[in-house]
Amino acid sequence: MNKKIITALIFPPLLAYIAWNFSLSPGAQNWTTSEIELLQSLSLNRLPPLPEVPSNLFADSPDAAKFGHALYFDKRISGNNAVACATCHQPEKMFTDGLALAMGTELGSRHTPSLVGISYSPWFYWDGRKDSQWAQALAPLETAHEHNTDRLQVARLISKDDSYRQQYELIFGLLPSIPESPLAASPHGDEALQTAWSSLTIDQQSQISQVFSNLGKALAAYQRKLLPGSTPFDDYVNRLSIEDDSSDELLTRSQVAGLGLFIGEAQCVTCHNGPLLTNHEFHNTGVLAINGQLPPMGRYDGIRIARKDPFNCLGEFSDATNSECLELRFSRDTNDLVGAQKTPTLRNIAITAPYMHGGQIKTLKEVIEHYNEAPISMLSHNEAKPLGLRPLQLRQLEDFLNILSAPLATDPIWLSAPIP
Amino acid sequence: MPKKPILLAKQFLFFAIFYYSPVWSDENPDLLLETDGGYSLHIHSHLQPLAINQIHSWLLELKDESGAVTAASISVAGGMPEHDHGLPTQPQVTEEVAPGSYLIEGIRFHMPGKWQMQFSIQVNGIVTNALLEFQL
Repeated sequence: MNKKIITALIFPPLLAYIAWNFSLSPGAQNWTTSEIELLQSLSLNRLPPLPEVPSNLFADSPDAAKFGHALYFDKRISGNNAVACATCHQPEKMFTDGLALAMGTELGSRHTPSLVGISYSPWFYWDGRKDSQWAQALAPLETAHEHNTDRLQVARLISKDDSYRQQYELIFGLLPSIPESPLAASPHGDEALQTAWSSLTIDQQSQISQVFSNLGKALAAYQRKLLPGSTPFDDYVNRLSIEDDSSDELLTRSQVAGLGLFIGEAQCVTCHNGPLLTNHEFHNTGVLAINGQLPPMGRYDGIRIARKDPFNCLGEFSDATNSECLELRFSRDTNDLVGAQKTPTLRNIAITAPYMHGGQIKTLKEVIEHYNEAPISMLSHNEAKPLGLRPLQLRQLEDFLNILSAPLATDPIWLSAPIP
Repeated sequence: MPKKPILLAKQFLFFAIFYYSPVWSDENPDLLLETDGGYSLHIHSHLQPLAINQIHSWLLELKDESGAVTAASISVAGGMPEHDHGLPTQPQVTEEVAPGSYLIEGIRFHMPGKWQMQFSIQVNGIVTNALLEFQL
């Protein structure tokens, strides 16, 4: 008798618990018209042409892309001749490095973001401290833990390498005379570099910085080739759009349920929207500080740095008129940007672990759990709210995120070092 | 008349003005608002149809019963009340392009959902407000 009572007390709740956490989702998803419209807005079919870059006249120059391709893979553009852009942004890893923190000449302080599709973003770096891809490309070259070189040495390399000089002059015109001494000089970096920079005339400084900025423009022209390919998710939406019943065969029920959560209850689409699954904006989502570092100020500092950057859209090395620098002129710098980091693309997300600005979270499962809990932010406030999703739903979301990867829509010639 | 009904009537008027939720569509690309000071505010987006993640400008035409209202000082703010955050940009009126027509540059929306745009309009030292609420 006692056994029967115990069985009656234990089994129904146990079965209910198992059903709640592990039961399959209901049958085929019936999307509403507005849901289909939202799904279509996420499809790669809706990706517009690359945005114009008024600050870079050479953004779509084939010669500049070719030149930038060579520069991108050239390890001579580093203090130890061992680091190229491709060292951290590796083509075989969707232009990431698989590490929590970047490793240039030394260990860095941020996670390497993917470059795929990033040409669509108006802001660069996790904190948006650069307002163009060409301005961004310059900064790592002069950062001690990344390339650890300087603009004078880079300009000298271009002047001494016949192929580089020829390519430079074909695109940008005559290369100015690059002084033989000092050996290294930059307005950034250690005291020796800055003192050496001060020893140059104003004209020399301007010419060297002009050459340097042109190299950034070539690197940006190359990076504009790096575009995402069509994924099973895009195929599903395309078939759904033409009311092709075979769309149901493309994804599992769990993946479709995950997609439903993505645009619905889980609210992912709030920030991960548009064909690149990012709004290119900055949000504080309560991610723990990077081990050993203070919580970063994020976009709050980033916009202030961008406004002072001599390589920004309004600066002397930009090709834009002031009226064309809309993002910079109308940028916001309010307190709610404290601790806000840039929303990354979710394209290829399953194969670009770890995650977040410091690579703090190792797996997609843990990322989803983070958003489900929405912990209190260490600095300012977490914009996300707890989702309260069930374990089954968390797995469905993960299943969906696993179908967002595909080979790049980029000619393979751009995906490895050019043949000399 | 007792005070309470008057208060309720005022509140109703306030909500009628401030919770007007127009639908911005291809068929209805322009919107007309009324400020709490009785001015009419015609809004035209240069981005048609209105979409997220694209910086663009709007044209505002401010009128009263006698026509275009010139030399107004207009500030604009916006955000998503349900998400407790503002716009990703700081739009500004940069030019009165024609008498009573004001250009607002630097507008960008970065999320789908319900948005609000608040217009604060100063004419001859008197401030009047309008609130636009719409779905993206």
